[in-house]
Amino acid sequence: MTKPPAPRDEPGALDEIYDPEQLVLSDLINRVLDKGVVISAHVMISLADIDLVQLDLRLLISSVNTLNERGKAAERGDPPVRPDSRP
Amino acid sequence: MAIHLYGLILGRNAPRVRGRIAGIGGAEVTVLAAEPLVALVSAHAASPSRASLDDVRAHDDVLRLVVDMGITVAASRFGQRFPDEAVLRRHLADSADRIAAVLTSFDGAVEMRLLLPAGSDLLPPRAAEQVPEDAGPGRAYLETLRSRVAAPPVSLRAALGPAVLSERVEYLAKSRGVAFAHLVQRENVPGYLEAVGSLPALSDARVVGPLPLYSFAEPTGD
Repeated sequence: MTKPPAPRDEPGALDEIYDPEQLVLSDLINRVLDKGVVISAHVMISLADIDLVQLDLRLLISSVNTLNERGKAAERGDPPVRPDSRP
Repeated sequence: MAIHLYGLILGRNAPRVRGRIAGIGGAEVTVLAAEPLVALVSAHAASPSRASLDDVRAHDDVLRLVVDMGITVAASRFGQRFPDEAVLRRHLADSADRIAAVLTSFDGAVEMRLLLPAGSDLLPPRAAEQVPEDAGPGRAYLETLRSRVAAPPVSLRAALGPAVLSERVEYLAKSRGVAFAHLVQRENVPGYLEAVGSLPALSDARVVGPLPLYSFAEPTGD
């Protein structure tokens, strides 16, 4: 089950967003995992249960996500997505 | 046996790499000649299936240490490990000309990253991302990609003057802010920092660097 976002007036909600250390950490992860030279995409290891090969192959991870969503929709009994429907 | 790749430098700069450098898990970082490049690597008993945040930090720390030796470094994207040196050399051979051209073109330059928190007056208002607080890293990553596609153009290059040779703008995950990657010649870093400090609109910005070339490690097309 998805936890709702913390209310704005709850202690820590804004602090977490504007914490400079969080900003620096977010940039560290962004640049180390998503930037730099790639000489081979076949020898990547995973971080926090995410295969970095999938991170690199963005279409694949999108497809997996979409499949997961459709699987959940099917379990709920939602009607299938029509070809002419929009996201 | 696994060889972790941290980054690449021009062969002519290899003699400037001095002293013992501790890498991931304390493993010694060594140089591996693959003309015209030299790879910064460490050997590990086995390639782990998972990595930790400490490993990510160690990867970055190694590269920053080499940058502090006055060497321009093309960072390797984290996670590239090879079963042995021969395989690494084989992969490098395919990319060597491209990477050497970038390193030659940008020799003497470093990457500076200027981080602006969300809510800064300099950033145009954007629709809030609908990312649950407990969203996993995969979801957060996808939202970041979506943000980049939808991101309105914003630039600091003109405001910071000629010290900035090139610029990349990236929105950070979970709407934390924006990272400006600036390519700056090492001798112009003091002037760059002075320019940042002179702009009141950047009073809440954080500057990280000098760094290896992360955003400029591949041909920029500028």
